[in-house]
Amino acid sequence: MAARILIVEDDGDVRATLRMLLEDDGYVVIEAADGDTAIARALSEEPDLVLLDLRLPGTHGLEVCRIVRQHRNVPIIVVSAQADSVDVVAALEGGVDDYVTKPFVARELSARVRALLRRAAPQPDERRVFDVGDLEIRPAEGVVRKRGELVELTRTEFRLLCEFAKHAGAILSREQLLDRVWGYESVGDSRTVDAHIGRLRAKIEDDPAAPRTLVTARGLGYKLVDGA
Amino acid sequence: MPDPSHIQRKAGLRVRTSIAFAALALILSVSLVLMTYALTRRYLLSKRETLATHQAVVDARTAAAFLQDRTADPTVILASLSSATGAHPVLRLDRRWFAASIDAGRDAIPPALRTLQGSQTQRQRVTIGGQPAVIVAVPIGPDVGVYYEVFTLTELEATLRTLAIILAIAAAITTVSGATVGLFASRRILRPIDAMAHTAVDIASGNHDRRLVTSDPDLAPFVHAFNDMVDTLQERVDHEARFASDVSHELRTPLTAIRSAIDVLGRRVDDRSRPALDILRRQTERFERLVLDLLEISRFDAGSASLVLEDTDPARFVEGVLRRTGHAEVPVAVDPSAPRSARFDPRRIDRVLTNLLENADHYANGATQVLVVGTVDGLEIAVDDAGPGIPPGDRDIVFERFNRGESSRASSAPGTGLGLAIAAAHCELHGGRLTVADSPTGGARFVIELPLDISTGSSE
Repeated sequence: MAARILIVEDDGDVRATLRMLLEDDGYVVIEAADGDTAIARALSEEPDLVLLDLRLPGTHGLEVCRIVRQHRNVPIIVVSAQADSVDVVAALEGGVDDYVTKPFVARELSARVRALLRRAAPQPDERRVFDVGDLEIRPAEGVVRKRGELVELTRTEFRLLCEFAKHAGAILSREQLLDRVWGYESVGDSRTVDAHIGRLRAKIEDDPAAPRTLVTARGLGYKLVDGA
Repeated sequence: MPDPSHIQRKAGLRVRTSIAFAALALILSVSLVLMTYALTRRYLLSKRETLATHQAVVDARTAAAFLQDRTADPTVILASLSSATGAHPVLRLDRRWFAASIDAGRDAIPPALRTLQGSQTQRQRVTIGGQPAVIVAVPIGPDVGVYYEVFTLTELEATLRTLAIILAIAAAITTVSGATVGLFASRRILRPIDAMAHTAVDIASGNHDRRLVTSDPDLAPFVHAFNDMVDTLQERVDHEARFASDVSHELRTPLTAIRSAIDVLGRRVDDRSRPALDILRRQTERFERLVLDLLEISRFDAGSASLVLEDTDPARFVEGVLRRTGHAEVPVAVDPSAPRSARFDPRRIDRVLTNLLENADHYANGATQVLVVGTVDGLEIAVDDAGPGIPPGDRDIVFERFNRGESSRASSAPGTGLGLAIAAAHCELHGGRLTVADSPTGGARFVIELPLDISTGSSE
């Protein structure tokens, strides 16, 4: 069945061309022109992925992301004309899975959509259970427990943690993580990785400011260790 | 960026205050010393003279008593008086002169005293053999003669000299103390100003939320005026940033629609229309680059460009950029001096490196190698190309905006003419620079110089 993508974009022409691009790629497209409609559609139409503009009439894009995420664990790509580092980092820290700046290259956007949808799919082949420190990670079920308690993760965060669990103790560079988790090497942005690491730490570390499980290898990348 | 120590050095208020205090202390202490010396000297002298007069009168009486005996030898009398008092007695009996020593005889007596008449005791200060002395003349009896006594003042002079030395030392100490007090006072006075200077520097270096604070009513007007000025500037900066953001949004949105529509057409159009569509795509891309470059440069001009620093392995970083931009075949020479990890904004340096590689492709037959070298205080990434090199006279011009050289303009080469200017600005934002020299193989060598200690200087 074709994946359903919600386009949240206030400019009619941009919305129309995005629809054409995505329909050419074989997706089913749902549209919203403002923040409130976006929230309603994201919850009622249950899209598989959301392309989200930030400057929206009514509710701001980041607020849309926050509200939608409270109810549904749906992958979100921000497609914004705001290209400043602060805006990108703010959006990534706000929990979006990826960030594309306008004007974008159609090929690149297609690649990111494809990669994120693939990531969103469960990994039935992974039957192992990983125990790292306080964490119990079950890739097949999409479940992470910390000292027995369920940890709520977005799909990208979960994929990221699984990647670390598979290579526990080894340093993974940002480029490797972009390649393996986000599914594209050439167009990645290390800020995406850093922001996700930050949010992952907030959920799995006792003290996110002094991480003991997901630690930084200065200048090289990150690694998952048994910090208990 | 202004440095607080530099500001202090330039103002020199501290030094000036110290000098003023020292000068004041010097003037005060010197006048005090001179006055003290003069008064002391006058007092000691008059005291000595009074004493001398009393002694001379007593001695004269003694001498007169002895002289009652006509047979007595005046010289013997004088000698006994001299040894008793330490003074030099001289006697004139009628026209004959007698003295106890050869040091002070008739010659020592000034003419005014030699023919002393009447019964009035007189005294006069003189110099005998270079030594100060006072002479007291006491007439003896009616028309017998005059008894003189010469008192040398050497001892008193020595005392006064010692006093002068002590006073001079005191004056010097007072002056130095004055300077010290001045320095201390100025430091106290300047402390709140120093604090404000630091805050001001902090604000200037991008910490726009800070404001001056003072509890000193004398400084309050200045502080209020300064804070108001910063508020106004902040408002303007915010306003400009908002405007820039709006402009950016308004330019990017139609470009997005145009590009996406071209991409959709590209998938659907027939072969007859494709050349026209290709032109549309190329020119749109060119226009887009120009818009993005102009937006970038306006951020630099507005001072709203900021660094996002990351610890990066420079060698791996360079290889990553080469791979991503399709230059994987360009050799990378990593010098042993190159640091394993350096802190810079990889997105900005990526843009610089990409720009240099593209320039090499378009104008200089491609890059021949990329060097990664560690320097004393940082890191250098150099791109060598296979072109004819850039003559020394043109090396500054290439970094100017919209300067692409005559050849490239004629051949409608790609690029906006802003690339190198932006690349240089990226480097300067790091506190580094972008330079060009000759490569050993005859082409040009563009060098990205980055310092190791980079602070997130500029503001958002």
